[in-house]
Amino acid sequence: MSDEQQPPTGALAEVLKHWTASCLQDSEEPTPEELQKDSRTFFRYLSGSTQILTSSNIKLETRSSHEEALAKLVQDLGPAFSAEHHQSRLKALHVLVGAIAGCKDTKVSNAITQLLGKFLLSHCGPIDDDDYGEDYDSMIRNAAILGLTAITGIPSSGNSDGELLEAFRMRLEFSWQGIESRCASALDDAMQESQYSYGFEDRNMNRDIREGLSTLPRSKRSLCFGLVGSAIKGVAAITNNMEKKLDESLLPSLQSQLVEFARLAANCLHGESDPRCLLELLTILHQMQVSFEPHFLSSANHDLVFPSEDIFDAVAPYYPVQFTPPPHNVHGISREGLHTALLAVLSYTRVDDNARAHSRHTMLNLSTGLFLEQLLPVEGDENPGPVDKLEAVDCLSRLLFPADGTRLCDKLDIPTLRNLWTAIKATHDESSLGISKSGVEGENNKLLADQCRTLVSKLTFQLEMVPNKALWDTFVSEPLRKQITNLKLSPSHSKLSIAYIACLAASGGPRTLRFCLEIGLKTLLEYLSENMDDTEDAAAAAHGVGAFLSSCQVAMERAKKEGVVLNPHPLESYATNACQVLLDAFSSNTLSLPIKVGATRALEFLVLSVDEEFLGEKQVTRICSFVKRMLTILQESGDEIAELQNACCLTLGTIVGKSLEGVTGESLPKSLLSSQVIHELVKTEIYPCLLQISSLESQAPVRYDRKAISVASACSEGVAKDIVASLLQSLIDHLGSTTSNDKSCKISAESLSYILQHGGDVSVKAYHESELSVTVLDALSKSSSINGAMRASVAKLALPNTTEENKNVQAKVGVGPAFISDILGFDSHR
Amino acid sequence: MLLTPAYKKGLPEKTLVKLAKEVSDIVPPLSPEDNINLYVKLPILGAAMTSLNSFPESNVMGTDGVPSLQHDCTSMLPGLTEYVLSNEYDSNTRSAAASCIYAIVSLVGNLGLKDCPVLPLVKDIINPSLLSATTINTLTNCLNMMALVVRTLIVFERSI
Repeated sequence: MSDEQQPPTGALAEVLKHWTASCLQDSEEPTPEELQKDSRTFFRYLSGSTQILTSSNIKLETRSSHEEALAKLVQDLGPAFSAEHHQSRLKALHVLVGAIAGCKDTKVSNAITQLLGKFLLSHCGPIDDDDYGEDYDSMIRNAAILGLTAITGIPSSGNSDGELLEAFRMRLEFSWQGIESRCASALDDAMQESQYSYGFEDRNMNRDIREGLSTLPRSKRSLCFGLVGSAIKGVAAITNNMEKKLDESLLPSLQSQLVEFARLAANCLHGESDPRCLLELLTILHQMQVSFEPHFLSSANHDLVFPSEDIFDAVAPYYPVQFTPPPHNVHGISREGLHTALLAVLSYTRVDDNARAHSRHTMLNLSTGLFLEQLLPVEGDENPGPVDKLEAVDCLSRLLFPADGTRLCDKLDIPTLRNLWTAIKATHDESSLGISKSGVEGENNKLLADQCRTLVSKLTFQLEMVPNKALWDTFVSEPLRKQITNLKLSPSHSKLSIAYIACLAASGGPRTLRFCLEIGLKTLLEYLSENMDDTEDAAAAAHGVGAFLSSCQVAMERAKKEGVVLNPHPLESYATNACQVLLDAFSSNTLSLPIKVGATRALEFLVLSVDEEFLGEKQVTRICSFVKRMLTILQESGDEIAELQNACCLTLGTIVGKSLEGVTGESLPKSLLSSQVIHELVKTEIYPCLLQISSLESQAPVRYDRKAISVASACSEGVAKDIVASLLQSLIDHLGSTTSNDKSCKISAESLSYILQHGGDVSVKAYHESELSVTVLDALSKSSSINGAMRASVAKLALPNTTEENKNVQAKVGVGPAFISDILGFDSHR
Repeated sequence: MLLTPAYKKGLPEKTLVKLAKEVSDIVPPLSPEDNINLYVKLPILGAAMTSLNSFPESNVMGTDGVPSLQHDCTSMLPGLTEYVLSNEYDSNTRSAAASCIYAIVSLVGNLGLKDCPVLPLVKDIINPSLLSATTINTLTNCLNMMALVVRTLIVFERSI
């Protein structure tokens, strides 16, 4: 190493001498902050090691000399530290703080930590500054706290278990003792800044707070919290650097210290009302959970378990967050930020296994109970609105389904599971009823109902997979069995339960599917068989059957995609009865439309989910008749059958589309559509007929035939291509034909237009992929090119034609200008 | 609404580029055939352009290094403006042309270019037409066009 790179001999001594003089001189310059900056820079240099190449070409690397320098600094600045004038003391402290900060990227031995920690602690206590104009008491004590913050955050250079244990202990103790000293006799600072805590509404909080902290103004509390955070960072840094785990015999001692520290840190939160400090503390508590977790994988006794209960007790009063930022929110504190920080603490469950092993409360169960109170408040409390409940459901989802994919549902205890089911069901029912409200409230209720169903489905699916079957029984079979009674008595009053159970059937897993079909589908089919009369209950039962068949179809498709084969088929024992009951309802001449509508929609799902091997030949024939009958109904007229026509167009369209798509493909389960009889019927009779009638003129106010074709088209790309190509060809034929007229072209174009608008993206895509779409435009553009006189006539489209001119145009071209403007779809308001 | 729904979404890029090229080649129309073509293609182009949020990425570059779709659209603006102001042509097609102008200026604005393509239209075409208008009909057309242009200016400046 050259002489230029090595600091000159005695440089440290010179620098220390300079700093001592600066501290002792009776002048504002240099300021404490400037001195701190200088010392930080100097010690940052000192922290690096020095490499030397000897004359024998041997490389030597020195240990960094920062520790000796720190000790020397404390010694040499002694006169400044003990000077009568507080200004000197303050400057000296800032030099020391800067020096320690400069060493933050290295490690320190326990000895120097002990030396500096004790030294700084001695400056944290109250100081008499009555003779001074400035608040030296605060400034000196704050500087000491900053020094402690710096030293506790630096990892230890110790390697042995004893040294590491000592390093942990010192950081935790210095942190807490520093706060205690800082808070001592702080009555002069009482309430100076606390009146400026803004935007936070009064809350009924735990009153167990440390008296000193509560009287400190916000900025000083924040310094204390910074010290807590730094100690936690120091613990984390030491833990990360450990080459092996601590000896088992030493672990209880460490755990005891960490538990006590964690309790004290949680205690800091009680009574905190300033949002900035609150956010800071919540962040620190979460860091503490993460940093201490590696040391709590197991505990010797239940006193050495990580104190999640204390942390929960401290943070729970702040849920849900009630904070409105002030108009000039310069600090950027938001409700969402506070909520996120709070949720991070409440959803940290990694230390729960240890707590569970010692029969302690877990954060999982405690937080679940807290969130459930929002959904199902205790009697006397105000019932939160849908927005608050949406937040609670979201919190539950994040708690029970963490991002790392850990399965937690099986860690819930039985009472919590029961409460969970009750709360979610009640919230679902309440929000479902609220969907009819107008505006945002109705939308929020709908979203809430959806979220409830999603959450309960996910829970059910997970519970199916856990070894402890009692959990699934508690959450699924027990409560659902209680629902059957109402279902049997009056399906129309159990619509919400039907929807709920059907949702579970669709997403809850194979066991749940079979169970829900047994208690739901079977019950409703029995009801329909015995009560095939014209009542609301029968109509609700028919719709309910459809819901369960639809759920079964969804569940089976999902299982198939996951490579799971459900054997026996879930509908095997219900198929025949369902088919018979539904077809009887559809074809009855005495029953009213609502039941027929329900039966029609239910039959769609039956056809899509049941294989023909479960039905007899007679029933397959009846299904064919049903399909034909639907086609006939579409062509009937009358407002009274509109609802049935709508149901028929949806069902028929789906059957046609799925059948032509080739449902027998490997990706989808087998269904009645794979029956040769039904497939041939659809392909050769139903589809061509439907296509043809959709291209005919009709006076019907709603074209259900076209709607059916749109539904079929939306089923798959292949079907869309075929339908769009047929309609395009038909339009081109009409445009080019000398016998066609405006009207037939227009009807043909209207049919195509309907498909483009309602047939999904696949239909539009099919249109553009077809070469015939270009041919149509060419045909329109050049329709008058065959006749010179017509060119002139068409060119004058801006001028109103005479009746005679119009007749000439139509006679010679076959297409009039009015039609061209119609086919290109001009808006009437233009 | 008949065929234009097909052009409001899912229009392949090459179809749009071809359509814009065909329209830009015949604006303003110089023959009855051109007029018929515009009568058919302007509403479709208008529907397609108004449904876009930005110019699609096109790897077909024009001779000046500007993508051809952007070039064709920008170059047809004067012709479209004259077309809209002229009483010779069908009012529905002229409305479609006005939609095209609005859509093109919005898309150009999203590119963040500083040169507004609307100002030359105001200076060289709309203003002179307004000053030389002799009938109520012509005056109304010019004022309507001016109002549309002012709206496009606001959109343009907001985009930049």
